Order: sequence, then structure tokens, then C-alpha cells
Amino acid sequence: MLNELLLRFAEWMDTHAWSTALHESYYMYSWVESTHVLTLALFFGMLVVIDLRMLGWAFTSVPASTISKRLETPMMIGFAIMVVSGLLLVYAVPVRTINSIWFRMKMVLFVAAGINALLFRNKMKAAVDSWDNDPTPPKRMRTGAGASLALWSCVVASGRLMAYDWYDCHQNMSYFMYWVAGCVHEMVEFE
Amino acid sequence: MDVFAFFQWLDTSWLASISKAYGGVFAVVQIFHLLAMLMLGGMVLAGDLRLLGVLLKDVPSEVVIENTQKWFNVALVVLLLSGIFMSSAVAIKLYYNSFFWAKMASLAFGIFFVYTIRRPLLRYDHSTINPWTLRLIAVASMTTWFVVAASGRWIGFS
Amino acid sequence: MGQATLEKIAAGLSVVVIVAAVWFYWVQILDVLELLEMAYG
Repeated sequence: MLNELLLRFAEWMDTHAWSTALHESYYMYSWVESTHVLTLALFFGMLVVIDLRMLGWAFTSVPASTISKRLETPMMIGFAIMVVSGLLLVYAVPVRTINSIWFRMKMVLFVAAGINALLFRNKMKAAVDSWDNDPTPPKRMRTGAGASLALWSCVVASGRLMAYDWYDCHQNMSYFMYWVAGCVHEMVEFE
Repeated sequence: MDVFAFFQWLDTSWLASISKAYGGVFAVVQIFHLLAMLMLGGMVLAGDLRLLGVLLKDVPSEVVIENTQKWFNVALVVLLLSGIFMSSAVAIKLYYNSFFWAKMASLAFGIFFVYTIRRPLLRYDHSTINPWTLRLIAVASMTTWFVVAASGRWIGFS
Repeated sequence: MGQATLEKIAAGLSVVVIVAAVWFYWVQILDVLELLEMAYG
């Protein structure tokens, strides 16, 4: 049901002239793609600095809250550019992206990383006074920082893997894999 | 020195026999290359934007440079190792790709600039360095690593 | 090498790099513009 809806939405986007134009423009598409990847250095780069501080592996002489507060703005600027350029990339290649298991995995991980970030932020704000100047923050903070690094790395990794066609709908796969990838037409044929 | 011979050798080396035969291994190495690139980019941005007075203004720039340099080194090692592995898979193609050479040139310069100019100079007390020199170094460093990364991405498009 | 010399080299080299990078991208932009002109006149 959800698979049908998603595919219909993708096919609807695919009928847009702008979507085709962006897809077929060598320079525009490559520039949007490069922007998406290089802005990661801003978003993910700042995230790495903050998380390394929270793990007690870098900037140990600087209060943890200083690092996270000062780097939050550039990180969120990077995040905003990522979201906009990412949406454009989906819009340019809607059907293949919606039917990509890597994209689907990326979205699930993205939500998980977002929830972890919110929980982490709240925990930090609630208790930062007690350990702000400690070189190594308490265990629960280090766990959160480790989870943040791992989750966002997996988001990046699954995004990178979208370039591979190993599990695209045109491949010979099991019914379950077709279902996971949302290959609605192939599922009908399978039956 | 015959550069082409090196690429021919790389193309048939044991490294290439792994990188060409196992798409999955190549993809995983590529992911680490990307993650290390992001870490390097983050460290460059944090350090250089501090020198420009954009970020972390209430943290001494010596502290920012010292901490970012450490992780920059780690990222660079991962990038070089994974990069050599990746290039073995497409060695001959890379030899004829002009963006690959743009990347190699800017990378060679970047490494030279960091370890013989930027780092030695920034070991001195930053308040004794002309602020305009600091700003120029920061812009030059960000520009260089941007060209390295952007040309690298463009190898895939060209 | 003393600090003063290092500083001079750093500043000079930085200027060269920035100019080179601007030139590198300028040439590429010109190429794209030329292609666009060929395609759309």
C-alpha cells in the first residue's frame, strides 16, 4: 500500500519537465550533487568535532558546551543546504531513488540519527553544568556521541551506496527484496 | 621517470586484483574515503574559520589549530591509503583523466603547504603573526582542500 | 627558518594559490558558457 503510494508519487514527479531537465543537465545535476557531497564537510565535519569533544578525544581543555554551542550554527547551515540539495536530487531522479533500498535505509537511519540527536541535546542541556569542564564527559554522553557518529556515518554510507545498482528493480531478486525496494511492478510479475 | 609505467604497474598489481574483483570491497573502501574526506574537511573548516575569526572566537586559535591538526593527520592517512586502493581499480582511466591530475596537483600542494608552511608557522604565538597573513593562510588552505575534494568528485562525472 | 621569513613565504604562497584557484575555476566557467552559447546561440 505504502509502496504503491510512494511509487505513484515518484512517477508523478517524473512527469515534471523540471525533473527531466535537472536529470539531463550534465552541469546542473553534477553541481547539485557536488554541493550535496561537499556541504557534508560542513555539516558532518562540525558534527565530528562536537562528538569528538563529547567522547573526550579532542578539545579536552575547552568546555564541552562551548564547542557544541559555537559549532551548532555552522552545522545547521550545512544541514539546511544538505536538505535542499538532497530534495533536488530526489526530484531529478524520483523513481529510481524511491525504489532504492539504500535510499530507504538512509531515510530510516536519518530519522534514527535525528531522534538520537534530540535526546542527546536534551541530556546535555539538563546536566552540562556538572561536567562541562571535564576532559572526558560522563559515560551516557560518550555513548550518545558514539551513537551519533555511527548513525550519521551510516546515513552517509547508505547515501554513497545509492550510486550502485546491485539491488535496483531490474535485477533478479527475491519477492522480499522487491518489497523492501518497493518494486511494485516486479512484485506483480513475481506472483 | 615514466609515470605511465607506474599506472600500468598499479593496474596489474595485487591491489588491483582485489579492487577490480570485489565490488563490495571497493564500495566499503570508498565509504571510508568519503568519511575521512568529511573529517578532513571539518578539521580544515574549524581551524581556518577560527583563523578568520568566524568560529569559536572565545577559544584561543592555538588550541583550535592544535586539536584540529591531530585529527586532520588521522583523516589524511585514511584518505591516502583508501585513495591508492581505489585508484588501482581504474588506474589507466585515471591516467587519462585531467581532473585526476588537478586533484593530485592540489593534493601535493596541500600536503606541502600544511606540513612545511601552515603548521610550522602556526606553532608560533598567533598574536605575533600579522593578522592578514593568518587570514591569507586560512583562505589558501580552505581553497586548496576544496579544489582537492571537488576535483575528486568530478573525476566520477568526467 | 625564522618566523619573519616563514610568514613572508606563507603570505606570498597563499596569494599565489588563491589566484591559481580562481583562474582554475574561471577557465572552467568560460568553458561552460561557451558550451551554453553553442547550444542556445
